[in-house]
Amino acid sequence: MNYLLLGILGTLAGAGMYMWFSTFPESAAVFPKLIAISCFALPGVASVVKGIRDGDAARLSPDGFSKFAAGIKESNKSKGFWGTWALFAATVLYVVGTYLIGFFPSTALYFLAVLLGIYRMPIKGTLIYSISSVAFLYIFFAVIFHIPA
Amino acid sequence: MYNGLWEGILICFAPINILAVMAGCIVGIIVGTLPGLSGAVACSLLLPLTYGMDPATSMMMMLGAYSAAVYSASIGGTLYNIPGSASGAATTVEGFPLTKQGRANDALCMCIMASFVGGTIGFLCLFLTAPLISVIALRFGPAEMFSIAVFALSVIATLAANRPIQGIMSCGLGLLLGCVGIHSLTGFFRMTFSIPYMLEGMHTVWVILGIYAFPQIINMGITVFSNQLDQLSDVEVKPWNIKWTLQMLWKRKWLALKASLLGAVVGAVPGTGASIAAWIGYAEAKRTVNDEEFGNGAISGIIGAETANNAVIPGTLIPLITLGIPGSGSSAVILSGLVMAGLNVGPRLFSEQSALVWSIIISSFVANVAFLIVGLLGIRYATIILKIPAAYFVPIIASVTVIGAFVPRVHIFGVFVTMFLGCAFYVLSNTLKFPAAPILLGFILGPIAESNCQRAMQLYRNDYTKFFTRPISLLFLALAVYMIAREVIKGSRKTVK
Repeated sequence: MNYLLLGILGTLAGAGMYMWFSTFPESAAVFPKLIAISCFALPGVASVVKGIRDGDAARLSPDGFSKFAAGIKESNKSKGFWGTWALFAATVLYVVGTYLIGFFPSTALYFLAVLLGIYRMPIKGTLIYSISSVAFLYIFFAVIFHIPA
Repeated sequence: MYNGLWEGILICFAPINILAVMAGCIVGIIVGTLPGLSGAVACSLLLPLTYGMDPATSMMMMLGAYSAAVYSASIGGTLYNIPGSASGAATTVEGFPLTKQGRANDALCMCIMASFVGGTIGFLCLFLTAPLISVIALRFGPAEMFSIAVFALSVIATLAANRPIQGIMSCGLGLLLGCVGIHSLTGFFRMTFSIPYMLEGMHTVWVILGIYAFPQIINMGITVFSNQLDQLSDVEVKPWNIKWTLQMLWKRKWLALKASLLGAVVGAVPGTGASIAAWIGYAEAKRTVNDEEFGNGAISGIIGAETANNAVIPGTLIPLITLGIPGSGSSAVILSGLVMAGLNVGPRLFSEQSALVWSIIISSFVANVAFLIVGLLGIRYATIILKIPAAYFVPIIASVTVIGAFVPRVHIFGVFVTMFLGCAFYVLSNTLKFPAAPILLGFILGPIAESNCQRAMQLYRNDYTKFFTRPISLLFLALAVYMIAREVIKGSRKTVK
């Protein structure tokens, strides 16, 4: 079971639903919004965290990731694990940084972090983490804190 | 408290109702024996037939099917190591070794008798506790009903399939399906996609057939093409020895009593069900019986598992008829039958329709007697059901599903919705391991939770704190938070390990 994939799908679904339900009249939207957050977005986040801790990104692609999976599972487990968390933290900082220091400086710093990640981790895994994390966090922040994505 | 008991007994023993319960038992035994088809599927296939039926007759037919399906789940497991559903898996551990020893008749006879004992003790629990709970439930306001619905949803989502994340998301899907249609307070069309047939919302039958019957048609179709069940060898089932069975049951009477009580309690907790109860009963047998070798055909294992899983059935009826809260997929289908018959299911059902409620309670016992008779008479022909090729069942189930989906709104749109839901759920359950029961329970409990929340807000003038200051409401909300937090912490610890 790939919890990272489930988490990304769940979070995106929850966020999308929340935005859709925001167009409903207030009293008709309360319950559906609650469902979107509590049954999709939050379990989705929990699933992403579980997926990252389990090293699920390695199983996202059927062919190109087998080496990456082997790397994480056998000789390179701690490197893959901590590299993943470092990238996840960098992605969080990137989204927050976009609002604090602006889009371009933050993007530049983020790409630097991704390059460092690639140096420490196989390229495909890093890219998958980066793209999915940015998408997921952008929408998650937009939903939770009402920041226009 | 016991008003309407005599009328209920008279309703139960009306000839038409006896015929209905026998017919339900036969359908339940056939469907329950087939691999992959559970009591919920048996009840969902019968649900469309209950249109226009008297509520008591329809309830008796569905309870007969449910009880027989839970028992017959162990037939395939005992004879061929292929349990009909998860509720028969615990019995298989001891039943199949007995068959290999040439004692299939002993195993099957014990399954029937133990199921009957479990169901009867469960019925006594229901008979004694339901009137008491219904008196207490009458004092519940909308805040309490909302909290109970939230608690039930949290338990169902976290316990349904040992996968809390998928359970919660499944529950969310069901809740969203329950939101489709005109919003009662504002008149706003929610998620109707401008389709006129969606204005009244999703019909319960569409959802039930979509998540229970249609995916089984796909599964059975795959079985037909791969011929998975065509290679079953013949198993000789000798005539049953009732005297030996009763002696064994008497010898293990305390185990049967304990396992039955455990089963009834498990059944009363939303989201658990017969499979969990069967394993708890089996574990109790292993814990208390020392003079039998478990795993090699221990009769006590069969007694523990079968008494517990059949005691669940009356147990699930306790929250259903006192609070209107279904505890499992099968009881949700039974609740849908009551709602379709025009009854207002909830805490007031007992006081407003006491004769009908008593007839439902008594019918849980009548269903036991019916499947005991049908089961004992048909024990020698048990292998025949399993040897009928799945190819014969697929068109029957498909026809019942299509007709059942068409009937509620007399329009082909219902068939399309059922097929869409069925395909979507088949993909979700096979790829992301989404369980079925939380979707149905979310669909049924969602409108209960929303309407009670709205009523509470109107009653308490939009004061949210009332949910936390009323003690019963606070208790159930705290339990809901505890259930989810416990699963999250457990999952987190597993991951770290």
